[in-house]
Amino acid sequence: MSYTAMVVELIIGGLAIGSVYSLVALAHSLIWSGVRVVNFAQGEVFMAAAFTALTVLIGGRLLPAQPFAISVLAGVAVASFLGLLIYLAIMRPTQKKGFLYVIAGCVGASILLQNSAILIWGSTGKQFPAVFPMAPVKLGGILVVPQDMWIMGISLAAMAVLYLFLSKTRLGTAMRAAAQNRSAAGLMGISHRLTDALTIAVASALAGLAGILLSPKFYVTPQMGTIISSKGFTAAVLGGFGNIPGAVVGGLLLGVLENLSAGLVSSAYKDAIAFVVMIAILMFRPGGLLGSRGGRQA
Amino acid sequence: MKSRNLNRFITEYLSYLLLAVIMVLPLAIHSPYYFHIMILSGIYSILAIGLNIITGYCGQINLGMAGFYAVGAYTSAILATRLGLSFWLTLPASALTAAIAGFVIGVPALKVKGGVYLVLVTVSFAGIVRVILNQWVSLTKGPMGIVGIPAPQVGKFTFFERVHWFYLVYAVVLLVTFLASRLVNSRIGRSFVALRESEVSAQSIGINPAFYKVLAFVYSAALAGVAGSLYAHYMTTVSPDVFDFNLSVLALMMIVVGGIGSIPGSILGGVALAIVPEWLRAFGSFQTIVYALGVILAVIFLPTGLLTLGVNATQFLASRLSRPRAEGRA
Repeated sequence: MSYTAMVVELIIGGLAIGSVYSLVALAHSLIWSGVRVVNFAQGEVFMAAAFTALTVLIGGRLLPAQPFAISVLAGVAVASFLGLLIYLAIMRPTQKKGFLYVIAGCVGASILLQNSAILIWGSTGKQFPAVFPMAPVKLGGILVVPQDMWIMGISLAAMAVLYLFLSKTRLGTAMRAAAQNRSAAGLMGISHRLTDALTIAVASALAGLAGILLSPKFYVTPQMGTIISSKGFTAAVLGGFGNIPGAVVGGLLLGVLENLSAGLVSSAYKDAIAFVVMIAILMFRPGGLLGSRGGRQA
Repeated sequence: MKSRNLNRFITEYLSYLLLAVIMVLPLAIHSPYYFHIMILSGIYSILAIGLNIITGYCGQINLGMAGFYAVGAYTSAILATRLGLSFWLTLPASALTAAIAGFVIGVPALKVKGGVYLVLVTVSFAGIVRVILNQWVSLTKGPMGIVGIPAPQVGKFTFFERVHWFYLVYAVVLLVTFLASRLVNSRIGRSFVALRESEVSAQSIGINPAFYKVLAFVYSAALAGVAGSLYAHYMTTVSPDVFDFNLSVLALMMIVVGGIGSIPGSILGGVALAIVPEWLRAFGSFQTIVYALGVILAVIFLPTGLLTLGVNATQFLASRLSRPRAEGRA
């Protein structure tokens, strides 16, 4: 196998996992630009969606096994609900007290969710059934895993839907208006309570979708969210925290960077790449590659 | 004058009172289990005091205390097992290496504006430390960890029993409390608070934000290093899984529960978060869930910490008791 083919394969694999990072980064950036908080329990929303989808997909005594599409919908719905719950119960009451309290409250929520998951589903990982074809296909001298293509395709489709929602619908326009200037939007009759809740619900749904998409690639474990959430942060900061297109670019770039360095240099320090990228980008280009969104007025 | 005395009591003497109570208790309780929990409390208290200086006083949110703690613990472990250095040398060495780590991470942290970025930088730092501990096997023995870290000795006396450790740890806590109380009540401490309240107005009265922020980072990292060194020698073994994100979170919880911007609050928080999980063992597999619920409720309903709650209650009672006299004077 030629060197270029290997590099191309690594890049494609990186783009697949990167598109999942993009979804998580989008969730972080949407919430930051719209509501000016950070959900440090995003990883657990991601994990809960993956477990829910797995449960619905396999089925049990109460519920027969469902097709993959239904299980995705169930997982995304649970993610949305959990995100909203965390926002209403923890983030909103603590937001005025200071950022430190938001973080502490969210971390409390993530411990709670992780341990609830251990109680419900057990602490060992569960294998997600292979819903996408796994056998590599040769395309023009390059081996491509169909699963990666599916993950990338569904992620990109979700991003396209998000783009259409934000730019073409009334509610999406209201969300963007409130993200730009809350009081001006309020004067136009846009309730920021509604847009805040909507932003959280949409962002959590994206994080949930990311969790379900990544599950067939890895085991589903109660701890799976922690590392993905921090990679989502890195991706968001890489593109510019709060910048929506930036989150997509940042996620894809981080995925490729990780896969290339793991494949060509050493996989031992693969998980350190995201952390190093984070510190480097904050040191040398704190606004990220595409520039972070300035503070919302009022 | 009276309120100033009260202030002085709350910010300084209360810490010594707390420590005195803790150190006298062993006369009544002899169980080795109790000593073990209290030794951990002491180590946690040092960690909490360190975090409170950077986060509570200087207002820089640090979610990477596990990283500095790990640097301290591994410095002691490596120096003691590889070079055979005694505890009395590894302890300051740990403080030094952790302080250097604090400097290395504190300088770039100056560049970032806004709490969320600083959180991400410090979390990333702790993440990098953990990956290095797992992967640099020739130095750290990787996931297996380092075992057989020797106990401290003075002449022929070895700190082996829990009682000895208890007094050794609390002697260090006492020293740290003294140094930290002197620091926060000094010009430097007041500069930290000024920076926390408003960087611009602090700058306008001649406080150099860069200098004081890095100083706070270095100071708190050094204390985390001291705590790490004590931990390594007490447990006699260190492994990377101890120094995970949850430990950084635990440190944050200590100051949130105990009292942000308060030295006695840090001690109280350190002790509380060592003891409470033990109490919650009664809940069996629901232990951590009850703990997490407690944390969430404390964050929402106890925003100024246990200590302030106690102080407020005392002040309220005092004002109730002295009301007739106060009215007479007016």
